[in-house]
Amino acid sequence: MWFDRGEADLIEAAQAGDRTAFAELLRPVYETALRLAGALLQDADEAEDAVQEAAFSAWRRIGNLREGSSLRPWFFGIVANRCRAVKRNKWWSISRSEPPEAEAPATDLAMSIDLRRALRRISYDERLILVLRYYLDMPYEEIATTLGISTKAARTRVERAIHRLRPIMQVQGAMA
Amino acid sequence: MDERAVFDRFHDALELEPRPGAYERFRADFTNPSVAANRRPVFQLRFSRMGLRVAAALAVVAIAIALVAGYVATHRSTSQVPATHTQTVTTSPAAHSMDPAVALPRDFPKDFPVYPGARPTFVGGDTSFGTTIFTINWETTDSIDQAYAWYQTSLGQGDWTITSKTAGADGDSISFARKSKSSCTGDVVISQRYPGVTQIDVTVCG
Repeated sequence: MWFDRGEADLIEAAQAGDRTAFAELLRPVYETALRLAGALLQDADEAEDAVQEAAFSAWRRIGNLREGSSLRPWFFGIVANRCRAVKRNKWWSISRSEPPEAEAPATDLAMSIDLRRALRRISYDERLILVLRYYLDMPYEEIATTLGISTKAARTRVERAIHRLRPIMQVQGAMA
Repeated sequence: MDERAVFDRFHDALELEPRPGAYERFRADFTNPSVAANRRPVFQLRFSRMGLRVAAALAVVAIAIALVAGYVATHRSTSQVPATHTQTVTTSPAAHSMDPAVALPRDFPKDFPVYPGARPTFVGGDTSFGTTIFTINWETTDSIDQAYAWYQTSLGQGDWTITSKTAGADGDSISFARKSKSSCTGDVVISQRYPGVTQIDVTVCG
């Protein structure tokens, strides 16, 4: 039974080649990783594939996780990079139509579609940092660890990305 | 917009229900080495239905070009060509076409350097801070390095001055300001839009 073991013990066991320990390490972060990939890719199937690829990649690189480091931000960084590769490999694809959301009020639905469209117009890095902050509700410190930047840089990038998003959304609102 | 409202809007817009049992599927694959060894490769190429249509259209275009080229070559060989004339055939790599052009706003600053031959493909504006901030995208078939070098020169001239330059994984960027109005700042981010198409993403005050 693994549930009473601490993260550090599980990481140590995984680094020694214990697959079950590694799977247990991922259990508490897997759902959030799926939400991160889902928000970046907007496709549940692709998100699951991306997270699974990221998990296998993390397993191959578990030896790189430094002692005392938490798995969560490290794994999210791998998921984000995997999603970036998926986006890059499908540059030819055309955006599919928005899924029906029958129960949502019309104005909320329009605003949601506006935001999704606006997010497609900004760079991947800007989209990623906004998803980490405003969708996964991450504190700046964890965003910084995930992206390998300083906390101040994380805050600045979030502010900059929001600043970039605002005019795009306003123009789309005016055109709608 | 306050930050709480931004959180709410992101949750409303991006909430995507993961397929149930995802972790259990991963765990089953991962802890069963025979399944893990046989799983599909990381870089599997999967074409969408639209991708297949695009590929089919490209194949038709390629065949048409080959037919036309064959016709032209056949007729040229029978025409009078001076013996000393040498024909040089140049080919360029297949490039993705640029997005459709849009009109620039009338009040877009006239003295802002626009990359020669670039096509404006997106126009946005924001006046919520008491001043107008434009977000404009241009596209060009020139390389990132060419566009970056041009802006490095152009934003150091006239009323513009470069305040910082960064090269990142998502593109190269140059931050700049007006010499006559230091509060008027902006940035140019140059990145690859499609293979063969460079995007120049400019944020600048009006």
